[in-house]
Amino acid sequence: MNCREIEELAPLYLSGELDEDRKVQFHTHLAECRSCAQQTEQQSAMDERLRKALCAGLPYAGEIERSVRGRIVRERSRRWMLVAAAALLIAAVMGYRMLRPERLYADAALDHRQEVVEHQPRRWRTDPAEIEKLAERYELADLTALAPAGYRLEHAKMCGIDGQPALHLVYTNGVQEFSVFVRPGGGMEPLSVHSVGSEHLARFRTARHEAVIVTNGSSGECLQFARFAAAAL
Amino acid sequence: MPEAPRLLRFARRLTGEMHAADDLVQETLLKAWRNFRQLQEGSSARAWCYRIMLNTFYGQGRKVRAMPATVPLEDRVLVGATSPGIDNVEISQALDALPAEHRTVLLLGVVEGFTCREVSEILSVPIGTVMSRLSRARQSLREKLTQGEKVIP
Repeated sequence: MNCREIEELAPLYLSGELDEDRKVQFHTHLAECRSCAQQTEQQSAMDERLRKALCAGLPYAGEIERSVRGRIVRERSRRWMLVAAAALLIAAVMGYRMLRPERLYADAALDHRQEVVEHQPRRWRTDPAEIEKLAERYELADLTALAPAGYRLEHAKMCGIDGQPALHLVYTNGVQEFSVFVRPGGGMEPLSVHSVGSEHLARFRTARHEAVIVTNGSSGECLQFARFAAAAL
Repeated sequence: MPEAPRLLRFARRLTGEMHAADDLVQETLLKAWRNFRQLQEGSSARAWCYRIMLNTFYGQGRKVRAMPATVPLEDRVLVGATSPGIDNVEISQALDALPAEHRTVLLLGVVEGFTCREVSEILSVPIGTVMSRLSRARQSLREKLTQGEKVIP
């Protein structure tokens, strides 16, 4: 090592970062070079003087620590409150959807009235193969099994009720028409009967589906049809 | 928070104001707590705290302190030592008279005891830059102290 290298490496020497080999070389040079030895000695002495002057005591930081702990506690509780508020909101939305299906009934009743009773023009699927394809999307294997004996599947189409897509199936026995709306959404909910205007509705949930049956017939006929469909689903 | 007193000592030197230093340490500790997950495994938590403090201080748009003219002498003495002596006052004044980047490397590398590698991480500069700054800072400080010794009989 020469004097220039000693000058360059002095900071690493003073901070104890020189590896063993270089430390030995450094010491060897200091032993041979009075000027570098003096220079290094002075630097080391001044570091010691600086430390002695500025590290003699540490300031008291207890108040700061207390204040920071307080702010951490407040921030933590605020975070928990936000999480709790978000959870409540989600629960409220889910609860609303589960407990207040009025929109679902209104949409289903309106679709049945306009599309089945009033025969407003819609793009119905009548080809059995096409209907089967639609049914596959909803994991419905046998559509004829959904209706009691004497009823046949007239036509089907995709629709939207309560903001979600559903399959609209129309069954008839030649006298009475029944709309069956099926969409995914399990949860096991027993059959319940409702009415919107002149339409009677029945709704139930199975492990994988939610279904709404709509008819202009009697509520008894609606219930009977729905019981059959619930057993099939 | 075992680092708080050391951080406060450094913050007082950095800001030159007692209250500003208190605020800076609070902000630093809170940021460290909030971002603790960002601390990479194997890196020094202590060095990381100093880095946060410097970034916070300079990020606040604070200008580098040229001279701590706003700090009364007794405060500066209090900052440095429990029993102020002539030597402490002299060193303190000589240190304050140095350019900020020299003062910072001396405070980190000598007073706070960080290695050159750690100082380079704290300041985000190459280790070679830290080494040359330290050498120049030591040289300047020695010159200022020598001048002072010549003036004081």
